[in-house]
Amino acid sequence: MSHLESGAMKLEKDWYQVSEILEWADRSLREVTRDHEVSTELPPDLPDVLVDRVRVGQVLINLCENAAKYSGRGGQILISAEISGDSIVISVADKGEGISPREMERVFDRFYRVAGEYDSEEGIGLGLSICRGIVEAHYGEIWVESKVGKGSKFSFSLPIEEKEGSRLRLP
Amino acid sequence: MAHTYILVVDDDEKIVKFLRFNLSGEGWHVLTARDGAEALRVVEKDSPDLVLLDIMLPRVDGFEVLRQLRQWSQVPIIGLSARGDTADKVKCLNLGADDYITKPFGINELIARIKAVLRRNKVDDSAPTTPDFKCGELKVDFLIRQVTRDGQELKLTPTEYKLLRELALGVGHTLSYRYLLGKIWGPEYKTEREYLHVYIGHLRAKIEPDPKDHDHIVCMPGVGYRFQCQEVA
Repeated sequence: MSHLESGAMKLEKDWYQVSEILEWADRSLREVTRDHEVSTELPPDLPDVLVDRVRVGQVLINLCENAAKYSGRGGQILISAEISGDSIVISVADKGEGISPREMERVFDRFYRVAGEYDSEEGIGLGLSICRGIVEAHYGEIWVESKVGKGSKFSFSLPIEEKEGSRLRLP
Repeated sequence: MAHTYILVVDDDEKIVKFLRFNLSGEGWHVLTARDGAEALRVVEKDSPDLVLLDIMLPRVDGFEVLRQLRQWSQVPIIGLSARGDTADKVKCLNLGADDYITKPFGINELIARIKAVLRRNKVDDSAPTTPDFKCGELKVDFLIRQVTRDGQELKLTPTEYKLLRELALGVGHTLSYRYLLGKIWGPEYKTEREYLHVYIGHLRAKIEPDPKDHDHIVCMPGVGYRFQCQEVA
């Protein structure tokens, strides 16, 4: 069991805008999606989140790499963020081959891989199980929506926390 | 936080994905090249901080990539190979690699080695105890990290420079293998004598008037190495 899964992960948290996390991971994101069309949708009024930028960047890179892999060359990938209740939800959507409902239940399980990846030792499952560990260590959740033949949308939430002293801020 | 870029040269997508995931968790950005020609292009264009180079590449193998890279680049390189024999390791180091790891490797070991190589190649900003060292026609200027012989500048890799500096500062004293390995490569390398032998060979080839005579770098078998000089300035 990794440190992440055992809950022993050390996070170096700080306040970041979602755009800053994307900026941090930008070079790697461009690398994994170099044969794809990537667009981003970030509302201008998103609050800052208290996160380990490297770790959240690692999740984003992994989700984008999976999206690129399963949507084929030239496929469209959308990275978006929105406020949902008391969280910010960040999503990576593709228009690729999609995942069946049965596979979706297990996609974050350790060592589980999507059918057809029989030749992979470190397939989608292991990376996603660690992504889940990272998101949960931030008190968030990760999930997937997908339709076979239509594409997949992986999302994770990060709680919106109140910045210390923010109540004292003058209007 | 400054970005650190690591170029992974491997034609195996699974390895690349595995490395990308794990190295990005360390805050490093992974660039990739699937063959030697692409690797040379990426090093020239993106100047990565370190290269992880698979030796068993298709067409042009990693040894040839290493040979070509070392003609113009001092980027730290770690060789990766499924072949575990010592001859390959020594060949890799001889061609100028900074380290060599056999597949399959544990990711924690690889990360530790990457950190050690990056640390080793960082500019040593510590104040030199003495501004320079002269021995015959050989001169080491510790302030500007410049080594000259007969007034001609010698191009040393960061590891070669650190080894020379250590030997020169201890001129006349035998420095043990373990001391040199621990000091230059790091504590986890204290038993890896091959690294030292290879780099001593590199240094001799560059600084000795006649590399076969070993006038300056003298081996004390079973103990270590000593820098000897008849006329220390």
